[in-house]
Amino acid sequence: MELELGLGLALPNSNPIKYSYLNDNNINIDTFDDNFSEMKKIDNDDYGSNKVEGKTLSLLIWNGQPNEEEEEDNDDGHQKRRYFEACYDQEFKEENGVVGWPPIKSWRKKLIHGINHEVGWNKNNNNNNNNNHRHNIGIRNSMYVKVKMEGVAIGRKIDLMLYNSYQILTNTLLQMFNKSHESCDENDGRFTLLYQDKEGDWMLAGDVPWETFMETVQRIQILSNWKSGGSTRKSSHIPQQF
Amino acid sequence: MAYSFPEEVLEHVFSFLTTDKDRNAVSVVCKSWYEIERWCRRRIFVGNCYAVSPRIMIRRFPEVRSVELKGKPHFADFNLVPEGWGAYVYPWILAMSRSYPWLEEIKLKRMVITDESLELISKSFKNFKVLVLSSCDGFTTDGLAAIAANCRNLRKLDLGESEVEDLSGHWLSHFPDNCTSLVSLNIACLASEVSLLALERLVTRSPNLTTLKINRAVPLERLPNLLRRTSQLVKFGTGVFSADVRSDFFSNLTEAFSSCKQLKCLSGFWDVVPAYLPALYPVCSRLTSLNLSYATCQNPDLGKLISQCHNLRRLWVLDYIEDTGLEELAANCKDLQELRVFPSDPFAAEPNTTLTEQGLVAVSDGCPKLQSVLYFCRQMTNAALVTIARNRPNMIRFRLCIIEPRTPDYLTLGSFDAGFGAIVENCKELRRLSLSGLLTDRVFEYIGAHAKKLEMLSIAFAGDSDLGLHHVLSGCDSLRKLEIRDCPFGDKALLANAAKLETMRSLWMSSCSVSFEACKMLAQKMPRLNVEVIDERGPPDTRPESCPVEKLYIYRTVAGRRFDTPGYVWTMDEDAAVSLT
Repeated sequence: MELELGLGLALPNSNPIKYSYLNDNNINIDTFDDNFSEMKKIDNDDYGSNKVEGKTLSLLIWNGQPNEEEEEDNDDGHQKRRYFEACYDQEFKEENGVVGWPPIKSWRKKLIHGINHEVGWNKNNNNNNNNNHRHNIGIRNSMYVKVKMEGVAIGRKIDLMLYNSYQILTNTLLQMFNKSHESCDENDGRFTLLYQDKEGDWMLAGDVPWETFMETVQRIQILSNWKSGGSTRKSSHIPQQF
Repeated sequence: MAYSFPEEVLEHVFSFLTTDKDRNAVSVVCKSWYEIERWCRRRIFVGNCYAVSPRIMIRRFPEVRSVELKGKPHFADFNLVPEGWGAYVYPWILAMSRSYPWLEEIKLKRMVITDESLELISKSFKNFKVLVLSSCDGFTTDGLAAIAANCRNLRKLDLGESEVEDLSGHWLSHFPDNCTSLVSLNIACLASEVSLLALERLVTRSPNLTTLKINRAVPLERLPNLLRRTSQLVKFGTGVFSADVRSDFFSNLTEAFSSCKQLKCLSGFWDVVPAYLPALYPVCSRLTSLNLSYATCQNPDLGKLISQCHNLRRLWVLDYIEDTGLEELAANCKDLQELRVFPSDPFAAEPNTTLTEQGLVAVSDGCPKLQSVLYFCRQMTNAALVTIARNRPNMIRFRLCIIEPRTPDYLTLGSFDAGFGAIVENCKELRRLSLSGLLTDRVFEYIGAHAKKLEMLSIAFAGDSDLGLHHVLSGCDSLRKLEIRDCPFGDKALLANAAKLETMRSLWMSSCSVSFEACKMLAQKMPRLNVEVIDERGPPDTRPESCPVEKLYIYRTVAGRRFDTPGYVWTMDEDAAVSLT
């Protein structure tokens, strides 16, 4: 019993442990139960009291240190981290934290991105300077909008944060829709790039500075000029859907 | 004297037993009851699609009308289950298409369903009525078009929070041209435009429609038109809730909402413009359920709206509601049963709203019927948790997420052991619990000692040793689902409670301290468990045996090991001799 108790105590931090019972083909499950209940028996006091460090606790915490101490400052913490780093080659990081934490459905998370994106730029919201600030310092580093091309059934979604000029955006889009051999020039091009602004109006891309465009764009549409007969269509004439 | 009853009489008696638990109890009374019961079982719920095979289900229950299946582990919701893990529904649909021609309902959660499966459904079941796909993926709008076109008796199509590849918004026009049988349509999860014309035509020819949830792409301007055609709606989910502020449109919208006399549930409200919220005021007093968790509006608009919903039973909202809004809620909504508060910016380092423990305390104090809570916040105290526990001993679901892992009580700087201990001690009916914040093994001792009805427990960044896990597994008698991430729980507790795992539906452990060797031993000891190691770093046996496995999913099964595992899943073989060196 004593041996097992000792093993139990050593478990979480003094890592690559070889338990003696692992060498035993007949694991005695009941013995372990006894072992644990023994440990439980020691302390059964009322948690409502402030006696956080009962006998059990000091037994349970391998190095006898109280738990309030920040793990970072704790030698065991370091040890454990090193251990985990050794075993986990890849560090899966997400945003600025851990994958899957906080536990928010990926579906909702997508919307949160959209939400912050919009709240941040919403003039009606005075209380969101924080968000706005965060945009500026670039923590929110993606901005997806939908792109549709006239005559192409399947739309795309692109991250506008990856581009910094109309030219690069246009070229990428044409490539994406397999029209890279054709040009999208304002005057003699065969395609026109339109975007829907916050008010829901369709505007000609390129008429405002890139930064202004980035602040208001909601979605993008590519029109074929040979079909529409000109590149200077007014927003109101363009239907929302083909 | 059971045998003196004719079978028909017993069948009729059994038909009044609606819960699976009661039906199961009946079926083990004697052989003849088992026989009678299995022939008249119409509804089947399978909590884990790998726990049983379609063949076994069909063999035992030949006359099923409604099947509900669940697939991936719950943590799949948070991206912890890698792409391609499994939970393919096709084998089920295929088997049922051959044996259950009269199947009427399929409800799936976290499963992969292809267009092929949807087509098979639409063509195989002549009287198909209900299709619910919650958090499913793998299909496109083409598959939905097949359902719409071929299921002439379809009553309910609910896409839940599924990921649908949008090929065309015109699939809605495939519903029958004359009157449809639709009662419930939820397409809120669709990412791109639906054909507005098709939608309006559809609701016009669906006189029985009482639930309609449209997606974000449907503009607010079209709402009055839609609502006028569906004044019988009970549950309505709006699309985007923003438009230029115009007084004539505002009165139009207000009138449209007022005309829906049956309205009880509202959701949607994407990109809400606060100026349009008062359009809802006329219906507020009727509402029992309000989902504002996508509505990025703030106080006073938010509080003003909610405080008028006196009959509210369920509220989902963003943390923009803040403590002040929750205090208003507590003062005005005495029937509230369920509250969920989601973070508007969970990845920010600093709080962006004033939402603390005080808001939740206020609601627990003011709403005597509160029994279900999901609360994301950034600060909490033990004192608050104790108050909540004492205020609401009727709590059934309590999920608290203090966003930063291992956050201590900000007043005492201690762990939350006592706080959660008070929750499990006071709330005797607690069935679901999620822990967060700084926690030691002690909290698990309390949970094991008190949470006797707990069925699902989620643990993250908590505990100090195997003893924590041992307390839970040995103490929680009703536990069915346990999910653990980033906790120092390992081999000893797992092996010591191996038998317990057979009484549970599943156990998930990721970033814990379970060794590959222990996984092998467990599988060997417990042949009715599937022990699956998920490791994207490559075969686990290429690392030291003591190196913890990345992720571990254990579940009981009568179907044996599954054969659709991707390359990063290793099923521990019960027969293989474990090399013990």
